[in-house]
Amino acid sequence: MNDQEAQFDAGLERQVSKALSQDLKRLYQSPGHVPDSIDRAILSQLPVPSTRAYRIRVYRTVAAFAALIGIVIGLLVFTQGETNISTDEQAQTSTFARTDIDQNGTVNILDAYSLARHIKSQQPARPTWDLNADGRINQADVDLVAYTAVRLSRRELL
Amino acid sequence: MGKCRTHFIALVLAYVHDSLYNKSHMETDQQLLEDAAQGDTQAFAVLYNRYRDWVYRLAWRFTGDQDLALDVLQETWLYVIKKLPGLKLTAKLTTFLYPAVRHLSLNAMRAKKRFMGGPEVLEELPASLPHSQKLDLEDLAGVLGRLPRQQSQVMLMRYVDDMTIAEIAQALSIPDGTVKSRLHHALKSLRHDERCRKYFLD
Repeated sequence: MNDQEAQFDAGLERQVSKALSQDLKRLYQSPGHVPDSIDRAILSQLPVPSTRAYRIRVYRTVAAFAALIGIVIGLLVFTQGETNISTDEQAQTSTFARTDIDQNGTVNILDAYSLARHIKSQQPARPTWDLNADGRINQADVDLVAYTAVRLSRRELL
Repeated sequence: MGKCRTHFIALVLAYVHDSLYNKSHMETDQQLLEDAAQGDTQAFAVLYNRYRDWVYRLAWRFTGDQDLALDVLQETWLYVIKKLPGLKLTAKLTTFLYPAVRHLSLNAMRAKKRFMGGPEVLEELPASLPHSQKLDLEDLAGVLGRLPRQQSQVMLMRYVDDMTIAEIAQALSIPDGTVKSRLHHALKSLRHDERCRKYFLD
């Protein structure tokens, strides 16, 4: 078969419609499904794995479990770390809100001074000012505001 | 956020589990054969399910008998199991299976005393179709029946078994050019026959 014939052959094949394949498949279709009993009989013929193959499978299983445990531990550590940071941030935000006595958006020594003046004037105080949660609003809470004001936040340190 | 993370972990674990323990349908025939040779029943099952119907249909085509076709199906896979250690494929498994099915079909026919000639006259028989379908396809069957056996064989491998020219050549142990030539002559005969003109686009 020369090149010219081969080219013509490919061209002829391109002219064949899909209907030919479909009709031929209908014409030569198998008489039905293979019974399950035949499937089982054939699949059961595969010989039992050799000792070496069995050992390889055991090693593979152990390695797989080790990898799985590693992944799980890694993900848990990663997840736990994120949770701690999140809790710290929430606590920091909450403390900030409570110690911002004059509510000007910053916590500084003037907040401690404001709280001290409130206590001294015996005006009604907000329950949130009981920063150490001892049931009383007194000098200890003022000290806590002052401490918060002078303490470098974690973000500033970073 | 927490739910997403849990979901992500579950997905990763499921993926790792699947990739380790479930044989993918994307694995090549050679990979499955190697795993099956090591006694991996799952790999063998994937391979079997991939080609079971193909082998059965081919056996049926050669024998024309459902029971014989099922016998050939079993014998073919027993043959594959025997050949498993060290079996190296150079193409799709069908190129290895085709001559095996053909040979075993021939043997089965001989054993049943239904076959009187040599392998060169092994006919590929159309299925027993319902009457309505038979009328519809009898023209095609008639034209195909008049083709030389070697040409119709290549036609069926190409259009029923969906094999490439190279795969057909390898399965029949003949050069690619011979396959092309036989296919060309078969198609030409079909095209020149009024009853099969509808299968050609122009």
